[in-house]
Amino acid sequence: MVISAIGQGFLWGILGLGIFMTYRILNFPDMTTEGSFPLGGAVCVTAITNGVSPILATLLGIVAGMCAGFVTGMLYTKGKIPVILAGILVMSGLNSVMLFIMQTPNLSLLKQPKIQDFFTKLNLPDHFDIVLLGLIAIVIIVALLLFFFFTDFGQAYIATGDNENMARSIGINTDRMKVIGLTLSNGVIALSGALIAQNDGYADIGKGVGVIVIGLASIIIGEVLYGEVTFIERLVAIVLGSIIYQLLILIIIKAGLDTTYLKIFSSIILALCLMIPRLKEALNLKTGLEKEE
Amino acid sequence: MKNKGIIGSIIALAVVLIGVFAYQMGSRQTDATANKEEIKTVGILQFISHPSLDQIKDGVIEGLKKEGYVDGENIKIEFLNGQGDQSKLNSMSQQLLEKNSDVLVGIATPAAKALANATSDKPIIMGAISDPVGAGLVTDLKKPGGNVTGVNNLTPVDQQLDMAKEMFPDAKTVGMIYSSSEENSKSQIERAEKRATKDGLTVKKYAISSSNDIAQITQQACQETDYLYIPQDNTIASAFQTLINESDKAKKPVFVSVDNMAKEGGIATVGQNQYDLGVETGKMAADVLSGKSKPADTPVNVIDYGDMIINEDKAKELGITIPEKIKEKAEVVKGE
Amino acid sequence: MNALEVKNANKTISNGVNDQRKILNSVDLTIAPGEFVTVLGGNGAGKSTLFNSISGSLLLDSGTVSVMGKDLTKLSEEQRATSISRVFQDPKMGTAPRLTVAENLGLAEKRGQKRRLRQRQLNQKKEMYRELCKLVGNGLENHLDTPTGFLSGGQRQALSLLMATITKPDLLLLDEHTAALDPKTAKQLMLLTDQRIKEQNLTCLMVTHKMEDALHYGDRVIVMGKGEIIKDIHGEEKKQMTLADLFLLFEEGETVAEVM
Repeated sequence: MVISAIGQGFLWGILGLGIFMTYRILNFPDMTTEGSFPLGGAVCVTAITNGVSPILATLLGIVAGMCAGFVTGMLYTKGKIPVILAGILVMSGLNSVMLFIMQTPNLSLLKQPKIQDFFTKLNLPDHFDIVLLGLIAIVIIVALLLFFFFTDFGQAYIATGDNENMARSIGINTDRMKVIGLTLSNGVIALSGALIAQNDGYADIGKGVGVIVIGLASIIIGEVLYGEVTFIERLVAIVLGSIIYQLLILIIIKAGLDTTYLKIFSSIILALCLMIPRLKEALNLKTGLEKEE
Repeated sequence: MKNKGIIGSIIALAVVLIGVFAYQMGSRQTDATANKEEIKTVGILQFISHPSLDQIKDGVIEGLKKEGYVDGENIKIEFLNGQGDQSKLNSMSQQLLEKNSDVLVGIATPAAKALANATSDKPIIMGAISDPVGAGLVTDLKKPGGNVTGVNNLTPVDQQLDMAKEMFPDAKTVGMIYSSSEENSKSQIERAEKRATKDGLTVKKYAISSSNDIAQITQQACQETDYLYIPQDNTIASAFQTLINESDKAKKPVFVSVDNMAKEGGIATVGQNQYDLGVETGKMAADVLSGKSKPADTPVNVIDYGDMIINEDKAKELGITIPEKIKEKAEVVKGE
Repeated sequence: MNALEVKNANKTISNGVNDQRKILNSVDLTIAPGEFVTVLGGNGAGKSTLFNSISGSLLLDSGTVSVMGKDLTKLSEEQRATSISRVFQDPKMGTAPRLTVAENLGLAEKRGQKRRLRQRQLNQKKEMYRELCKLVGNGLENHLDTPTGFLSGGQRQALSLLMATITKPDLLLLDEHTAALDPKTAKQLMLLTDQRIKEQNLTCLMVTHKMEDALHYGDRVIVMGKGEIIKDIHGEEKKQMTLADLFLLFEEGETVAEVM
């Protein structure tokens, strides 16, 4: 089951990277996540059950996520609705959208083609198909992100989150950056939703509940564990954080603890990780989280 | 990349992946011979806790016992309950596989689906699934063709609506409440609606998205219809008291699909004894264990008949006379 | 063509339920290219409001703002940045704390240009940035790869100035940019400012509370009071002024303002 946890870690790591794009870089929490994540799965699975190839279906899932993020962005920048509220509105609305798309709250992929079939057919040891799928997906996403953030456009994007006033005064259209950030990040989030739906074998309108915690856990664990890092290292740290989180969950299950308590244990782990900077401060150690106010 | 921690972690990850990979590939060569273990493992996965599913589980254990397989003696039963959580069902399916289950039993559609998704070669026996083909578990009821077979309890909708017609001859409208998150309920309602419409009744459907909606929806349904029809629905089952509270206030009878619900306040049903369904399931599992049958060519056991059950106390409470014909044939249950 | 033309600028804000205050009252201001103008005035005189309406962070109720003949009145702050650059009073406001000195300069260099999906050419530019930073004289050139959040206020402010002048803006707005610094650093920054302005022949509008600076730098002094320009001294008259004259002027301005 360790291999399975690692594979899951890769897939959930994509979620972490998506959330990172808005939460850490633009400095606001995006609640759309809990809607765009299952939306990616819903669109993808619906497409597959309608004969679309898994890869194309996954791409459709990404596009759906981007549309959701775009709507949140518009509500936020043009409608002047506070970003958390805008995200919640979109997230709630997506529930109905998904029901409309799937025509049922739960759609199964049993006996349907899935994107991991290519790897499953290779008859590798258990769960290595997901590990390979996840690894390839991560490498692609990280490469794209690295490319993006080191362009002039990407630099302006980072500046928007770092100091919005300064960004505007050097000519950056910060509203546009926010919309683009929400659009792209929810596309990435929907991608993880689509891949995980195919891994689990079904899409369900309730799959988004609690995913923000998982995504944040990946980011926070990565930051807390690895200290001061360059940008590339930060992205890798998020993926590693995701894997570690899945392994921690595995330890809890193996320790025989009733899975009823899984959710509260997840929250406790996350809370502890969030408090580690405080603890380290108290003990006079350094973390990578120091930021000038 | 300079950070030692990160580089170290990546190396550790690679070592684990490559190590396990090599080990697994290696042990494949030597692992060809079949397990000659004395004690076989039966993995049972239940979707959620409510009396019907609990009874099925008990039935499964009894069915196994009837065929000579006793827990603790010659088999080990691993039982897990998903508490209604889809993602738990997945990880639990993995766990049951890790425990080297020789046969798996999925109680209720979501559990069976989770098991089917987790393995396509270990045998899976469905315990009381209302629509195996619709759920994608088997391709054909007579020749399942994969690793899944089991008991298909088709709610005896025709028998039920026959009984309802006799009990409520003046009824013009029937309200059907079901949970929009359960596909098994949806297919039942579709069959019931078809039959009721043929009988000349007007059907009003009410979907709830969670047990939170039950009170309000029931109130509305009671205002607009003459009696209520409830399918085999796990969400409603777990909050049935709330529904009955509202229907009692409006003095409307509730025709249910499960004997337990009749005990809890439904007025009548043509029910399938859940325990017996479980026993049949257990027997099918035993056949697989003993090697007598393989899921691929074992036809699904379709049980589409049931026993009439009436709740006399409820009928009296609501002022409904039960036709003599029915009273003779039906089993009477006491309210609880 | 005038570098800056503010015509009939009016701005009123509400101070609570029934209280309306006219912050800018039919202000007219014209600045020729290459002029270095300092702005004095007491608190609430309208200096910051004037600045904000020129830079675009505030929109006027009525009136126009043009820079080098281009009407900016309806444009947003980021759209005006093509022509205008600004250094704020707070050193933290002018630089992005998580980005390095070099990255900040890279961003500033793109002011007014379309930022595309081309890889930033940071490494090629570093030499040029190093030379630029040497002008400051406080070791900034050694911190090209340091996130600016770790720098001192003086270093960040000097960087802000470099960022504001790395591309020649049509108008440079300095909003009490030395006010938050200690005297020595403030003086160094003021010298650097003057140097950059002279090097590039920039048009500059500077708000300051330091009379000495108003006296020694620039070739024109404006005194504002109660939302209006009360005094405007330039050319020979300004050259001949002493500190005492300036104080008097300021006092007069305040009194006049009070009368208004």
